[in-house]
Amino acid sequence: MVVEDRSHDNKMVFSETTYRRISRILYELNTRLKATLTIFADMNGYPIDYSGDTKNININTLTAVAVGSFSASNEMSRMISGEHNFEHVLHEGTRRNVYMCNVSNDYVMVLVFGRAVPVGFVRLLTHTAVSKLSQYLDSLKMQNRNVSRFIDSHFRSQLNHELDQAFGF
Amino acid sequence: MHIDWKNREIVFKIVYYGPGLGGKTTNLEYIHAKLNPSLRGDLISFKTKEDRTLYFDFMQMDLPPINRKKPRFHLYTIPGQVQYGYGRKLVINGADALVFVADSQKERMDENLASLADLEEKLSLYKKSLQKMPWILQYNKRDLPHCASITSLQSKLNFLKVPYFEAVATNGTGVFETLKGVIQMAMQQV
Repeated sequence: MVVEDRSHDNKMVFSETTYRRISRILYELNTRLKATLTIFADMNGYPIDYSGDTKNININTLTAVAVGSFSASNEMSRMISGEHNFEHVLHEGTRRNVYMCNVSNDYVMVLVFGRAVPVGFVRLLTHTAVSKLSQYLDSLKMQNRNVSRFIDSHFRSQLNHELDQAFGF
Repeated sequence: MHIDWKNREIVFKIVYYGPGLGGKTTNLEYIHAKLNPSLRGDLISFKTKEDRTLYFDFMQMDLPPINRKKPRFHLYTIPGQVQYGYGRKLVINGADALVFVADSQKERMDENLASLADLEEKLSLYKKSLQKMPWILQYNKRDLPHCASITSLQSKLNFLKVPYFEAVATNGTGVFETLKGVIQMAMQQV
């Protein structure tokens, strides 16, 4: 069902149903492409979901760097053409490539895949997956999902305790 | 803030802002060096040949689960140099709370003020403002000669009376206190 709580500006909440739907699309894409890893992230650099092999890869760090790179490419586009129109970005490596593309303007799809996978095939299947995701995200209706269900007074007080422990206070 | 219901994680984005050479990266380097490795990821830095921040620095900090809910923090710094305004705009997007790292040296006051004005301008791009945003001040480099007094720094920079911390990021003084302070500010907004 619903997904984002825009009444809280940048506070984004995804329901379990949404996750299941997104997970299925990512899994299908990753499997069909025999990709190493497929990440669906928001433009703030948060990984929303992923499919694939995460051994030796820190998803959070990779996503932050990938989204930064994608955003920088879009800024280049704005500088040279006056608009953000770099929908796809490909980084070619000696062993693995990284392909990124825009999803509904608020999200980014990041694919890590080996050199044996043809880039054209990646673009084709990713385009299909992105279309499905975009349609789904656009169709979602607003829902009030209470953030306080996640963060209650106990969570806050315990968090202070955990911070003190971690910081050696 | 991002809540992942499936994995029961809550992720906050904390951004260290401030003038170039003010000590933002040093804050993160100290946190990274002193934090238990099981609680943090790698420190990723995009630096110029002169060791100045180009895009941003990034590190992830995790805390043990609380009631099976996992708090996670993404810590970013911005590039302080004037010419990297785009990097600042990019990083500040979606920030839950900010640390403004001010250089306490008297001769850096103009840079502090310019950076604060730049922060307000960047926030306005996302329809936010210093008045509405949770943020705190860190007066860094308190060990150096020619430091402005706290009274003077407060009167010039802390016009919104946000919490402030004195720090010497090179030896860690005030670094974790600042981080705890900004996390508490972020929590208050939830």
